[in-house]
Amino acid sequence: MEISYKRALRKAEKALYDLSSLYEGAGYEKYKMRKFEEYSLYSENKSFLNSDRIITFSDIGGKLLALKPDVTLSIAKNYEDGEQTKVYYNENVYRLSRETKEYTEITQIGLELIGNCDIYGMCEVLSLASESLACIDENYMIEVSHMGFVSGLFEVLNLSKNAKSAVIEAINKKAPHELQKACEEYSLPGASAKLIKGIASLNGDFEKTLEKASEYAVNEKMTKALDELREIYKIVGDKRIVLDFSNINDDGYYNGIIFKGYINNVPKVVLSGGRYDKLMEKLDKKAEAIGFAVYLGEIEKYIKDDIRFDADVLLTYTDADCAQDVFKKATELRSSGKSVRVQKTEGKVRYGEILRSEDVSL
Amino acid sequence: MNNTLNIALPKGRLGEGVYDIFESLGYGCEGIKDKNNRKLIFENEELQIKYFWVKPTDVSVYVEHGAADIGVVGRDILLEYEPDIYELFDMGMGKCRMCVAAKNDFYDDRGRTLRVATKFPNIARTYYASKSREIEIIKLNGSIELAPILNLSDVIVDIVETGKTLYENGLKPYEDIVDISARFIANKASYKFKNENIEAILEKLRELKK
Repeated sequence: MEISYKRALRKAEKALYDLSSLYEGAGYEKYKMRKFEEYSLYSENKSFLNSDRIITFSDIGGKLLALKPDVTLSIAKNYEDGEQTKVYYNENVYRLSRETKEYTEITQIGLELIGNCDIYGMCEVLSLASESLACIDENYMIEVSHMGFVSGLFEVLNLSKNAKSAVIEAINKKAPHELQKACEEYSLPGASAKLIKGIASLNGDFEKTLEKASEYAVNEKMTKALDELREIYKIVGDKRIVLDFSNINDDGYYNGIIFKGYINNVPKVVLSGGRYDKLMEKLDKKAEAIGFAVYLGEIEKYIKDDIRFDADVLLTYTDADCAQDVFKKATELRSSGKSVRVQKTEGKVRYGEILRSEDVSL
Repeated sequence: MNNTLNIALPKGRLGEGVYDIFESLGYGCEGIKDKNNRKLIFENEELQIKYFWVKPTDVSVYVEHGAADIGVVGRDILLEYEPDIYELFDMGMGKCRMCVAAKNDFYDDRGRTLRVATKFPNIARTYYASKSREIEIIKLNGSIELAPILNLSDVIVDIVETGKTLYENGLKPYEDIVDISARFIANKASYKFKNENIEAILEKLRELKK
């Protein structure tokens, strides 16, 4: 019997299947992992996770395990040199919510390309990121930045650790006044301050912003980063992909193109990804890598399904009715495509229409 | 797509001052200043903007969760709650300082744990952690100045505008932590999808400041 899943799937659940199908279609293999990993994997890479709060417990042998807060680290750890890995995953991860200060279970779906990651590979992943968002809502946006451009800038500036983090914080917040203050506090030379302020304000239309950015490229690393962005945009560019150099990730892990995705009516980032060759390096792997994750939990919170009833029809019956008649009536109603709930009392069921056995002939 | 810009303003003097500026820039809304008006939301359909008054500490909550696209909030609130938002502009209004204050005869004995009463536990904790100081936080919700007087705490961490309340109660600012002023903030997703509208307001604000 052919069963339609239309009724059973909430929008976020449907997105899960749509995305899996999208990634399978691009030849990515499903990666399934167990719920926990050794804690050391996470404790050694805290800043990759952006948090050091992880749920840990000891196994029978006394080894410290952790409920996984992330999937990328496990995939990266298990990569074998020389391979071309293309995998996607759909897993629950456990993280401390920054707002509620409670541990939450988050459904995360994402993909990783590890091995040789050339222009083609980057284009493929970026375009899969775009298509992922398009699956959920046509009105989406991806902001792209490049860590090569940013780290090239910091090589030129040669700032102290504190100055660097103050500058990055101000840029991330798009706060020119804070940037000004940081420049004054750490007595940056006028030329450096001008350069930082210029780059912090670079955002918007991809091609126009790229053009403006080239005026600020003061070393080869920065120029190379812009060339790479130009080439990628030529292949997969569209108006929903914009540039935003205020998006800066940890340069200890990320190196090349990085991106964040938004969809209309969801106030938070719903997709995040980028090149992370440096993580591979830290794990002693000789490979380039790129990937992204989609935060379906955020989407589920904000995208509502148009559901008004528990059932289209509520069919009630009494002790006087013959069970077979009730069964027949329910089957008949269901065959017309309606959802039908059958019980003796009305209770608190929210229904579209009610049929009482005493009113209809069974 | 809904193009209306939702603006959260902090109830009180600061918010009213901010509204006056927005009105002078051409973003006025009828009835909003009428104290007898019980409406919660004020809309100017022509301009496609909606204003609502919320508790000052809640402005960043509305903005972070996207219920408001933009808002104006004191830097004290941003430092205390660290919301994930864009802080686009310093309005230069509501200027004051976050200070450590104590009784006039306060002697800071560095050999003991310092008891700190405050409405801003996160700011106080971060400040003293940067100085490697052991403290005990006593979280209060108002009348902070009472705490050292009644020996509830050694010092307070609070906002000081003129210092008048402090001086009148035998207290004085002891250390400055950070300068405070009102900031124009935006939700990160709204900044992408309503970029033109938000940038238009920002541009006018920048012009005004020049």
